[in-house]
Amino acid sequence: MKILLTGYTGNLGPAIARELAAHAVHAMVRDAGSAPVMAHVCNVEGSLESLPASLTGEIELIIHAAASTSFLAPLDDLRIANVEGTRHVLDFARTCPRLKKVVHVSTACVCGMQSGDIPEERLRRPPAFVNAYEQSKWETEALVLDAGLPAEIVRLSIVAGSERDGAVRRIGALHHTLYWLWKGLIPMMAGSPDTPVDIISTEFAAKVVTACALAPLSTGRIVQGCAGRSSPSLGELLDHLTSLFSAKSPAWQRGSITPPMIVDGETFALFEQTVEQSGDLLFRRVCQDSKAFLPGLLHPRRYETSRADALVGPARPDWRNLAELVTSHVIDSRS
Amino acid sequence: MTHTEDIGIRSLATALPEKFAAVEALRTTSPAETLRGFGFPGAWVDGDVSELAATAAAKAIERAGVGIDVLLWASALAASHEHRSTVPAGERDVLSCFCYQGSWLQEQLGLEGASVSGIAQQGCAGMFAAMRQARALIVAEAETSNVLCVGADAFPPDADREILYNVISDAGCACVLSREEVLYRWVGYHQVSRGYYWDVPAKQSEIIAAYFPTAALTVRGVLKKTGLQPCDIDLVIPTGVNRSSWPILMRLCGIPDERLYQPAQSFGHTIAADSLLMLEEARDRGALRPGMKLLLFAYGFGSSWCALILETTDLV
Repeated sequence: MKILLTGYTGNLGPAIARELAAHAVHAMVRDAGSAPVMAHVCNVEGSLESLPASLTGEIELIIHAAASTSFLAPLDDLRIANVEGTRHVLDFARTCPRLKKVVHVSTACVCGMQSGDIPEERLRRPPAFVNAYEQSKWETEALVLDAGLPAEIVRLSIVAGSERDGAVRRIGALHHTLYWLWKGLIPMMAGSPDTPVDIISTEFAAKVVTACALAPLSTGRIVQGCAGRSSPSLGELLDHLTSLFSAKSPAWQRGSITPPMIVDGETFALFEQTVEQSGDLLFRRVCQDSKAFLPGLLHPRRYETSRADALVGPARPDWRNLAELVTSHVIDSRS
Repeated sequence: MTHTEDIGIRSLATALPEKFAAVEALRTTSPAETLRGFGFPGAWVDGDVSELAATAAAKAIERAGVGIDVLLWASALAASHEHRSTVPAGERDVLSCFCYQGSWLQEQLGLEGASVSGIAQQGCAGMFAAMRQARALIVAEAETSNVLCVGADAFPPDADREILYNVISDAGCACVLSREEVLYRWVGYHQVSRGYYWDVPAKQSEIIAAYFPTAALTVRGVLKKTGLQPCDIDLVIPTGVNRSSWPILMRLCGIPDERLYQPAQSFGHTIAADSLLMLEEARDRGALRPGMKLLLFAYGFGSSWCALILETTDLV
């Protein structure tokens, strides 16, 4: 199959491409020099605004994984990157006579501040979003589902890193937060000890995306590539991180560093307010990084995964092992 | 035979310098507006450690109306432990390093029957350590009935008055712990010390981050030791540190916000004297009734987190 892949240089792109080794992949890249090299992947320089017309006759499948994940960017900027970027992809898809399917890679966070069980279905606009990124991705989903194209959506939860070595191509909010935790610079986290933290590996995410892409078309289908019921709770994750840190640092081992407290949203907001008032640059940075990731924990939810289970099986990579590998990678790469 | 549960604070007193300077007139790192926002309109300055201590101690002894068996001097700053020798400055040698404030104060107040020691290396929690040692001495030694704890600190003229978003005031304080006739019965004490944070300049950010979770741990510790629940605390006596920190700490400890004592005056952060200044003010303003459980908390560089629970008696 001839596949157009966007987001090849992102966190997930290479892993998706690896799963598609039996196919011919045209990867859209801005700079071919910085793109990974794979035998079955042909790098096509360009942008979402200028997708190659020369390929329209060949492309049978489009996997749109490109997105701006700058959680704290203004909504207007994110709309340009995510909503309008996707609109270009959909416009391109309409010109592909052999197209069988468009798979749009989305985020489980499109549910915004909704709590509880999140179904693998089109979601009504949530009452509010934690950040503009979530809103832009929700709007993008609506655009895809209303496009009148053979389109499907894969929502992914937090892609932590590789389950083989913990590596991540781009350090994100989760990784910054892990680093600040390791340094003992996060005094409190918003949420409750029971809040599920849905983290998945890069490989699992890629497997779900490609399984969905290669499966028979079911227009409008939404698949949630999430850990679901295999997710640790925030309390479990913090305990595990504390034990990992303890194995690496005498200060953690001896209990000299007190793990952060899990607090409610109002307490966390008071802390953020104090930091803001103080003007402390380091803590502003810590809070800014945390802000992108932690407020989501105030809205505990469990993602339904039956469609993902049907595609790749119910097993998930062990979160403890994943957390250990990613944490080690973050510590080693920033130390 | 004294029951240990009868031991407590029999009297207390504080002393502030005469001069209060607006925060705009002080040397600080943060803008004055920021510090005002944190509850620091200014600071008490130009204090003399010896004078402040002597004033507070004399008042505390007078109020206690008993003979003093032990004098414990507690200051945060190393310089505050040393009294200036009468030998002219140019003629002083290493011996002047052995001129201790506690000894000077004993002489000054005529406390000939008292034995003298000092408490150090606990920053702003020094007074808590002194009270803890005082109580322990009363429990351990039959001949020790009344212990005077004195703490005073003053910054050098023109010193930077800001420490980690707190504006520091000069002040002195004193209290007498006794076996009987106490205003505040000693219910329990818990302290968490973390030597990991000894290098204060190098670990400022880590200290700020550790402050809240370790404070909550410490308060939980004293509640556990005393068999009390957060809701059993009737009033939290704050220190003079950044006022925005207290509502956070109250929430972390599960104590209702309205149980935080709201001082009428701003004393700045007076290092050792904060808690006693606030306690004295709370009593003067009629905020205390017999049988109330009071929670006092202090953090000191080193680092040590200290939580103390007192119960007001009928004498309050």
